[in-house]
Amino acid sequence: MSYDRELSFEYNNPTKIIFGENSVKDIGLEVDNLGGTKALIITDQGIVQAGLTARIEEALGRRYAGTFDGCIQDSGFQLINDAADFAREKGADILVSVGGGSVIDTAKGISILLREGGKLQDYAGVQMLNRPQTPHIVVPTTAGTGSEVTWAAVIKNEERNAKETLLDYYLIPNIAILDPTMTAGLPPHITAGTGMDALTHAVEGIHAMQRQPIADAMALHAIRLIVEYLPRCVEDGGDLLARGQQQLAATMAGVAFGNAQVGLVHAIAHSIGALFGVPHGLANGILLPHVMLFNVEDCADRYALIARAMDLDTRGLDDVEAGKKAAAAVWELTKRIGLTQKLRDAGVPEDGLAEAAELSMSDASIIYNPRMVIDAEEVLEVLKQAW
Amino acid sequence: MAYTYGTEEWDNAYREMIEERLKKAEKPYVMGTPEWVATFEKMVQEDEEYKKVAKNWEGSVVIHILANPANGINDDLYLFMDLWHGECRFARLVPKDIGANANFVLTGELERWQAVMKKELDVTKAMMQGKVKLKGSLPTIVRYVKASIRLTDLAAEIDTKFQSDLSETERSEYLTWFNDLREKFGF
Repeated sequence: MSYDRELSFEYNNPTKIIFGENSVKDIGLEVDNLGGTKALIITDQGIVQAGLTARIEEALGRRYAGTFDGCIQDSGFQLINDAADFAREKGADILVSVGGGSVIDTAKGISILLREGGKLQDYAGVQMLNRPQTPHIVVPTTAGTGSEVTWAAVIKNEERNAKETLLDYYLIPNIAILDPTMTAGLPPHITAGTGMDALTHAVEGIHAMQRQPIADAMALHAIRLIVEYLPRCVEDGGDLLARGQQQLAATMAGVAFGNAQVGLVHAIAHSIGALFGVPHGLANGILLPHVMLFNVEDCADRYALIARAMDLDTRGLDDVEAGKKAAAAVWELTKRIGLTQKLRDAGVPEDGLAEAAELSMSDASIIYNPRMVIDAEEVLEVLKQAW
Repeated sequence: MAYTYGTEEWDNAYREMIEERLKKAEKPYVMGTPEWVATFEKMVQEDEEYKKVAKNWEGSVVIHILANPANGINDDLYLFMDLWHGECRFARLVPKDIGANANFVLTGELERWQAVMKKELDVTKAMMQGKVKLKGSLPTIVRYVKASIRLTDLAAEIDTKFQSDLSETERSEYLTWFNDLREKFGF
């Protein structure tokens, strides 16, 4: 992969990462280090019922201020505004999000409102904040979103029935505690879907227009780990070595795309998520090989590197052929881990494809796709292939 | 005397001031001055490509230039563009309370805007790196990214003198007349 002399970039990765089995036990110390005194746990009811927040409460001890467990799959502006009211009532001065992407993004929204006041809608935009926000520690319970290290919060706009992306360096969480035991109970289909989310972040981070060498290094190693360990996580959720490696891969992929951005896969996944409720990781997994084929002529050199990171035999192949082989391998991986491979089986109606294509044109991710997307018709063709 | 924005009196006085500045001011115009803004307005109004790519656009856009006395910008400047369905109804300098409440506000240091106009800085990248801040719906801006690029291209086509290029004497003269206008029109 070559870069030209015009290469110029910023690499931003301020999150302190703590890794290890049972590392959540140290969360109280980390709260103290950030100057927090009253920690509010942000989570969803499934996580509470699984007993995961009880471990955090215990570790927080006297610092525990309460739990907001109202997060849903795609948290919206109103839910977050209400959650911030709850946080104020509890006197929270630090947030601990325990969950997947939606939970973490909910906490990012609350972190703004506790510091700045107002409604979250007031902060829709890019780099609107001028100072650090409420301290935020993330304990991921999935291994895919990468949100524990990114500057983005994807929030549902209930009025537009679309997902909006708030982008700000001050949204990057302070600490991510990657504890493999927190993901051990994740069911195979969610492990598979969130795992494909991580792979998509890595691949999109490499093909995105804002790609850069440091992010590429993170993404390529994430791909190596995912290809090796994701199937093991799906086959045996209690394989804590595999769980840990997958967590690291997801975080590295998060760092990669947080700096390099994403592309068309995410633009479409956000749209079908908002319109038809398709889980983000599942949508990414279905779309990724189709978007790679759509892009392959424009970034074949990068896809050839991905093929090699996936340990595919590319001898005798030119870059385009190697890129196509990588796309096929992604397809095989989703099949192996038991994921749905067609949008029709994921609840997307055929007569909804055009609307999804149109909505994708408004998603910020599309700007960074390596093949410039000019018309919604092009997106529709990809959707038809994936349907 | 100072005029009140939104009144017929302000509109008329601003129009007269522009006509006078266009006759009197030497080219190339200094970026962000009324004559520069008027030139930009005319270019957008006459541009067929912009009309085409922005045919469904609705909403006001403000280029917000942050104050930097070292560069001759003593207070923040708000360049307001009233854009509607491919038309530029007007582009003008406006007071802060009008500019800050536009549908979309793009905020940056003068140096950043200079870099954008010199094509040294991609405005999207600048937004992502926090060099330019966007207030407003990102999806809407994304949907019309070609219109945004066209506006930037048009601005880049104007023969422009930047504040940092002014000599000591030029800067002193510029500050005198420009600040006088700012006081008069409240922008």
